[in-house]
Amino acid sequence: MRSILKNTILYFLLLGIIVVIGIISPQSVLPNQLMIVIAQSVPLILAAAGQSIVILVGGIDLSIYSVIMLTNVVSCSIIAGNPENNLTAIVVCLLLGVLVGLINGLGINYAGIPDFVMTLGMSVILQGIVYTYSKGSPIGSIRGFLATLSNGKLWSIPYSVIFVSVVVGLLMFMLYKTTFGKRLYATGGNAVASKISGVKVKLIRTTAYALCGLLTAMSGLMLSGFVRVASLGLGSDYVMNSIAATILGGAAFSGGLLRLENTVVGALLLGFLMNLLTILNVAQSGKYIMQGIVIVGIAYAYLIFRRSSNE
Amino acid sequence: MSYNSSFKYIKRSLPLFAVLVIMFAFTGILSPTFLKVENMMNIMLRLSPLLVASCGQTFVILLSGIDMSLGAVVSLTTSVIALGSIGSISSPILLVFLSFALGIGFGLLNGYFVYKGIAPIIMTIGTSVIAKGIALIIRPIPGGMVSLELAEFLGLEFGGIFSVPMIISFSFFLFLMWILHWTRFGRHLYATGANRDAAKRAGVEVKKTIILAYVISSISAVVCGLLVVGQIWSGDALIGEVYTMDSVTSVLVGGTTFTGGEGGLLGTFAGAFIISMLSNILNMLNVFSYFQYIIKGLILIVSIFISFRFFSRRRKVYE
Repeated sequence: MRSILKNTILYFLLLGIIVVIGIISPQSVLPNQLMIVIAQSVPLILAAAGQSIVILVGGIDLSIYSVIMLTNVVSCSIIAGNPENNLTAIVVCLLLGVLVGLINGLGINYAGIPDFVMTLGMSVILQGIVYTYSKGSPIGSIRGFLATLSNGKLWSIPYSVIFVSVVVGLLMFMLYKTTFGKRLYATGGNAVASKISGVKVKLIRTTAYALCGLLTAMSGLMLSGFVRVASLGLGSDYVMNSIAATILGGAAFSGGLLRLENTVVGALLLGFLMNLLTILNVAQSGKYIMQGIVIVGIAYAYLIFRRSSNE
Repeated sequence: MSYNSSFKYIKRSLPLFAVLVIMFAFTGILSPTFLKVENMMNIMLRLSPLLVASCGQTFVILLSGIDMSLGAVVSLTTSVIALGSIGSISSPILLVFLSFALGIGFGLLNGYFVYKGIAPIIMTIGTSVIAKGIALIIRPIPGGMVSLELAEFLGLEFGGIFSVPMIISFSFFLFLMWILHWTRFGRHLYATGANRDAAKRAGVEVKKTIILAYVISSISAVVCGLLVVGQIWSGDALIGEVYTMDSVTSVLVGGTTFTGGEGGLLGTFAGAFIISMLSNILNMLNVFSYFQYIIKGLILIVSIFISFRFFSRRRKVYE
């Protein structure tokens, strides 16, 4: 009974929030409105997917905010209002994301720096680079492909939702069906045993960080497409929210446990929760308190479920 | 801590103090204003709150934990102290008590749930958001006025080289040093950090130790907040964020490791000193302020790399 509860609690919570939204303001649960909230959650879903994979192998990535800021400033300055530059911007930003993730992974796994320190240090360095590059006042704007991807619709489904479904689908295939995915789980579950069994633990972990960098860069690009201008504070909540979504999805911090679809639902849950609080006219301060309570509450609930299933 | 191990510990902290002396000498030669009394007072002013916060953070990191809510509690304290201006609660002493009560409350919350098994980073991120929310309710925009007596007291300077923040932070440091290195709780903390199960079997009250460590961390956040109030004379619901990262950096630069049970406050002192001198030195050397971020990040990563490679007794298991 408890295990069923554990596996479905998230979906019930999400449903519950949507029902509450529907009771308070019926016009907010029309398909179009729901789609808007989902589309708004897309950048977070991407970042949270990256964070989940890193947490799966027993790490953490605190540089997400800075990578988003970096891709935002770089993509805006490359595109600079000219739709023809979209391809260059996307390629450069994705490469930058992978590069940052790779450096994180190499520092953590091959130089032996704790994940927390490495990604925090990287975050500060990237902020310095962005500030120096933009001289404190970033310029440029986004037009063309990226803006369409983030804001356009196919019939009534936003492109961004289609895009994120494809990405999450690919990631799920990678995690559940491929050897690489199996190795990710093995590494997170028991690094020593995996190493003895011939898994290249360090390489796998490094790849996980690179993958997180790539997904974060995607998240930054989608977010930039939404706002269409360069802004230095963009994505400042994403480190915390991506961790929160992962925890809501039930991934343990010790690694080895992850259902990516649950992370996606966790991110949606946060999105709808914020939507509900906005409808209720709660100020930012109240949203923070609510978010904190949800994080702690869910983490504790999972802990109890896990403990009772172990007994 | 026995005499033998405390001697070893002091010996292990020596390279850090050597780095400190080299930094002093190097900058002193390159920039003549650096060693002037005014500038030293500046560094002390920056050091005081950071030293207090880092001392608290040390207790938690010794348990392989982390207190991400430290900065938020600092902000919350400044917001609460600045309540005086609204006239709802006028007595500054009452406000100071209220801050301590709130701080201890957050410490208890963190400690209890971390003991129960929630990952420290999750738990403290959660409480940090809650504290941030409360601070923003009290003080949506920075401002407010702090009781003049309190603010003046907290910024008092005398004798040309002494100041109240300096005295508060140094005595706080010595007090925690005593707790950590000369009391039973301190020994229990090291034991719990090194091996929780073994400590429990040896009769250590693990629950009490963990909760107390987080409470100490929160109390130091409140003291840090008071010192910040002495500098800004107002409340700001976001001003403390920087102390989370800076305190963690100081502790880690000071040689305390995430593996737990290894390190101590002497190293943290040197670490906090180095971190708070860094901005000053970079300013003295005319480094562009945006570029300072890059240097700080690099120093964080490199110093941890060095301390892990050459000064750590333990290695990660899978290496």
